[in-house]
Amino acid sequence: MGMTGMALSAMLFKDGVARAAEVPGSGPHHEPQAKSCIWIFLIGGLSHLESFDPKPELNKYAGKSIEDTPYTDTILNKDRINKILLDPSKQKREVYKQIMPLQTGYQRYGQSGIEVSDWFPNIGTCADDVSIARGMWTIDNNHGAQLTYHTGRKITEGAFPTIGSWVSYGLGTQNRNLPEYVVLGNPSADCCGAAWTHGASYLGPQYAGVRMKVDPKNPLSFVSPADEKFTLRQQRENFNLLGKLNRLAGIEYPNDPKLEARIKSYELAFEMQTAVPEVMDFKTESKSTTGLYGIGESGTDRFGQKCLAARRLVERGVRFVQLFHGYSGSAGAWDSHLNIKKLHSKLAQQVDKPVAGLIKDLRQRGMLDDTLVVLGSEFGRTPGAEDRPDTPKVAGTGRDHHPHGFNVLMAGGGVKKGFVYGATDELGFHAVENRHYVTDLHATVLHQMGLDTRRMEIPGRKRLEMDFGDVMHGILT
Amino acid sequence: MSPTTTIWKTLLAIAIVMPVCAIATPANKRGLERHFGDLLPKRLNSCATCHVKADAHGAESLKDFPHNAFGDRLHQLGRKISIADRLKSVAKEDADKDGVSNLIELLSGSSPGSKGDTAKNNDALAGLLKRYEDRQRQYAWKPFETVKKPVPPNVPGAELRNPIDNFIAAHHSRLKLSPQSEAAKDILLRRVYLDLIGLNPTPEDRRAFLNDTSPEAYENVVASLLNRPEYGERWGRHWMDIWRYSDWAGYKASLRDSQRHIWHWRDWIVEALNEDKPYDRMIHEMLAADEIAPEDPDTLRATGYLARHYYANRQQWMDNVVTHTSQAFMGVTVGCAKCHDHMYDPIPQQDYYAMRAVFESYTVRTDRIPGQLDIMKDGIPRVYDQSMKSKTYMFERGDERRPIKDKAIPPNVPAALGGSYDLQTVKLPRFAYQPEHRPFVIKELLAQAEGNLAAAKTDLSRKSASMKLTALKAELAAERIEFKEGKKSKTWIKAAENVLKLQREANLAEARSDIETSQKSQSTAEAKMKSAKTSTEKNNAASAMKKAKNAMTAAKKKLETAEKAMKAKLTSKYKSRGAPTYLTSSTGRRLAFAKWLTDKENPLTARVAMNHIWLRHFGQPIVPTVTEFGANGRPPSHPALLDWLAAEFMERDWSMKETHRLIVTSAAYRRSGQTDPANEKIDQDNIFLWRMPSRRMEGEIVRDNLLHVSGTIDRKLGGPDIDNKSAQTSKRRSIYLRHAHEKLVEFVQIFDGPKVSECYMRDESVQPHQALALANSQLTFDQSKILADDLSEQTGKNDEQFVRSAYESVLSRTPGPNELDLCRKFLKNHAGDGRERLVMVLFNHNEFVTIR
Repeated sequence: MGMTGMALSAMLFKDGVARAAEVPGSGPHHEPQAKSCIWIFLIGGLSHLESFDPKPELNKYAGKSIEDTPYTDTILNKDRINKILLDPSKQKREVYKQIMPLQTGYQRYGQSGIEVSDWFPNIGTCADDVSIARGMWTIDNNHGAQLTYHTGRKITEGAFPTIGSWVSYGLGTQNRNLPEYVVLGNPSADCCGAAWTHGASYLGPQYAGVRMKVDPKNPLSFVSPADEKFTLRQQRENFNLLGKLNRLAGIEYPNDPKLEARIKSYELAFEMQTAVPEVMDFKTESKSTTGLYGIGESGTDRFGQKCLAARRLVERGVRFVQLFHGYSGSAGAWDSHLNIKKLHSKLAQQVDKPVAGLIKDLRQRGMLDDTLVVLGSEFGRTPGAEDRPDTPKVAGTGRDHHPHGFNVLMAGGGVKKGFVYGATDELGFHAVENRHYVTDLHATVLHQMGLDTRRMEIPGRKRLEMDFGDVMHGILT
Repeated sequence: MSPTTTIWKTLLAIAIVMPVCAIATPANKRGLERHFGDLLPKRLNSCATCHVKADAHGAESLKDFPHNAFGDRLHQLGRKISIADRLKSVAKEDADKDGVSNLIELLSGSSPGSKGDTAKNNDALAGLLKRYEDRQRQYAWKPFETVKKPVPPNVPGAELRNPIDNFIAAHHSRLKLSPQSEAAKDILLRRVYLDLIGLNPTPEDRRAFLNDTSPEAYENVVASLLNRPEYGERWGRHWMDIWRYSDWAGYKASLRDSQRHIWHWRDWIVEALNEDKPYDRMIHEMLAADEIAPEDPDTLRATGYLARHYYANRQQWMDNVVTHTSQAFMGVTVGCAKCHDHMYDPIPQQDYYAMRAVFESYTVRTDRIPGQLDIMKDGIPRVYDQSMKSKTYMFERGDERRPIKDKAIPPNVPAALGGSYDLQTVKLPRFAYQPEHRPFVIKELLAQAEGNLAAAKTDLSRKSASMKLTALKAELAAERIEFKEGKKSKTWIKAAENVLKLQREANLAEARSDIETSQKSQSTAEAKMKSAKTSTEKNNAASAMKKAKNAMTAAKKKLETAEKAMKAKLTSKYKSRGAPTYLTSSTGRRLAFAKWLTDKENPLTARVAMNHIWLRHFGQPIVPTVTEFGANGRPPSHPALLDWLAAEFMERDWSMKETHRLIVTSAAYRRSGQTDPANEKIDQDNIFLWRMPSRRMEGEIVRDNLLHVSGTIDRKLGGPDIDNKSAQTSKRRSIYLRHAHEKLVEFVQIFDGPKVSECYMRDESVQPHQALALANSQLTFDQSKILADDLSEQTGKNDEQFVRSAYESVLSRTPGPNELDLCRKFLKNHAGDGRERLVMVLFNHNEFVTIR
């Protein structure tokens, strides 16, 4: 691909091991299980209850108050509710007590018998390949949690390195023509982190996610020279000279991270000129493959293309692919305060087949073992119906934000197959078993990729205990 | 941004929350933490420091959760005294009578309120006491109190060019940092050019500066740059970030965000900066030009600030005004108080609504400008008060669907920031409330009608146009009578009846003329139909037929209506040309607010502005949270310096140019940007400015310099926004390219261009996408060729000379010997196109996009 093997690129692109050893305090610290991670994020808050953690008790007590159930004392305990929120005084939200029944059915799938809601029938058929972590919790009950999900910190604290940037920083690249960290889909909106959700903060801009589009004609603006007669060979010659001149000029400013990043950005940019259009061009994919992802079908086409692009990126060595679904310009499409049935069923249809297709495709290509797929959202949704007197017609048809317990689906990369890890209580309110904060998820991903978060620190940048997280060993093979 | 500070903040935040204190005011606890900072032992960061128990669970009043002896003593002093002052005044006392003073107990980690818990003799105590005393001596940052000008500290041996340097040197000497010396002349010149006008120095500028050995050489450059019109463009874009400039957004006729022709406000910004309009005056004009210069269209452009906040949803509009006006000018997040009292700052929920009330009465209209009768094509978007008694209600929990209608909230300013809100109604002059009566409007309306008459070709159309002119003249006459005598006078009634009569006759004439016109088009269409051969011709003719037929139907209907109208009784209700009379007064609410904002007693306005200016000179602000000076913001790196700058700014009549001059002539600004391992060990992030931080140019400046260096830039100032899609071919400066939601300049956005909704501080990323944009864009190809041709003309066949000139033009310096060698080899190897390619390479050089 392209003109690889040029002396200059060889100087710049070292394999992951060599690179990581150079970076102070980072890995790989042990034998990795996964080479890459595909991180799928549903913007706005997926209902854990109507996805991978269905609760029959909600149907049993439908319409009743939580206070009328045997679980009232444990669930409505104020301290417990406030305990996980970093600053509960700032985040008062009503606890909606009137229980809303499940808005769709659910079934057990596969030999593992994992319960999956009827909105995700295709993912259901992958049950024996996935693990569901049902004991997740987070610290922000508004959509700033989207940033928290990626950095572990509250949005009011500002930007911190995201999970993808830690991977990119810690491991370096295993390819020489694509960024280590690619973002597909529109990220969270301005309210909720925007570019920070794929940023690298103090790790440096070269570790931030690079946004691309699934469009072979225009996967990235300016991806090829405006002058069509200008050849790649000429470009290479130009960039070789540029690299040398930049280095000469840099003697005056040793260790300037911005200069280093810019030099690297040109090397990568050169290779991207051919690699990016190629990776977004699906003409070599068979009908049966594209069909697996629901490409060409209504509803699933757009996200299906992103999932297939993710596989192709990972195949070419990209370390971390971050897929966003549900951009709405504000809190996110999944944020179903009203009409959850209508909204969630439509959105679920858009992602169900593509995600299932991705898992199946990775498996059939033997890639699932070293690719970790993670599907999640910033928080879950309340067991109680959101009661909004101002909209009487739809009152009680939606669920509010719920940081106290939610789920994340994982597949491949050394994660147990057909396994349920952790649990929420009977009504799906609190995470009660194998409770994990979002940085535990980060630690788990990094651990599978050969990195130990506790050894990842930049001199002068003290990380807090909460940043490191604890590996969810119980979910790993 | 100091990582240490952030981490401390987080630790503190966690510490506050973990033990839930039901009654103890968290503000007191925060006060305790702030007073002692990291000297407060962990175990004392607890409710039990002042209370008998640590856990207030279940307690409903102080009775259930009593103070200990220490808490009692603090309580006695009363809430009116700040917790810090109370702590100071009881430091030497011994509340629990265990023989150890409160302060010693607090520092050594034993309870000052419990006799049984006494400080042991502690070796570290002397050190702790000294650190505590140092902390007490530190400059107190009180952003909510009126600025008091601090005396610049005396720092012997430091390089001091003006008082800014004294403040910066004091930190250097405290931290044992050794600052870098002055940057090389080349670097300094390029820095100050890009900083003040956003354009590279030309080779001529450079040579002149290098040859000028006088001691004022640099100061002279600064003076000349501040006088150039490009200064206004460069800094205009900065202030457009802060003031949320956006061109209009919407679809076809529907307007969603900002206003059409809002570029008039952009031009006002540029002009105001260039004439060094005092900042306080700028604020007055932006918030209330309609009240202080109601008949001056040039000044009215300033209210574009408020017109831009227009949003299709009025609630969102008002919320944006309150949120962003408080952030941009006051550095306070009043927006946080929409749903509840501010959590950190003394801004009760009521203040949000009082501030909203300041803006509640205003709305937007477009005033005609000479030469353009169609306000869709041009005009000045400006604000005015549409009601003298607009009411503002508090919303329950900020929910606009739940207004609390028992009590309207009057306009006011946040009490915690001091000062007074002196509301006075403003009487408006005639043309402010009757803008359509301005002489030029009348003149142009008449000219238009006369033009129609002159252009009319048939007898019938001439008659129609002539009668229209007569009717218009009559209407204008009636308006004059109305203004003098009112609508009740007999003269006016008579005149109005006359207008109606003439209008009816004109309508009749027009209908007849219309019938004639449509008859003609019908016969033309019929002829076309007959001669049509191809299917396209037939289709065209058919549609022309249809159109003519419709026109005929309409004309007939018009005639019918006109004939019927002729028979109706004559009244004074003629059809007006659309010349509304707006309110003859304005509430004065915004003017009173603007005056409060710019009162020298106002603690924030000058500080916030200085912080923004500093940020844009140094790439890092003094208060890291530029829109958040309150308790939830991060503390400033140089509080005394910021206070001094703010005081100086006001003393110099709020002159921005004087501020720039002061800053860029300081030793701090003139320093080299080179790193130094010893200094880095002490201050890794260069928070204390021991070197000049390097910055990456904004996307606009990258684009501008591609055009400027090649000499093709179009220096025209101002004018309507240019299609954002023409960014690759337009030669105008980027500030003039359309910037609105979904109408962004991609090239600029790739270099972290400004967001439309808000952009108080730009990012500076380094991305391969930037490399692609610079290497592959049409703009780079075109400008490289132009510059290479131009330089070739000057240097002939001499490659070495070409390389030197190219370096001088693009990077404003000469190449080193190794650079020269490499470039000459490159030219030799690529004899045909080497020169333009070398220029391309230099346009992609890290130094080209970097301000060192």
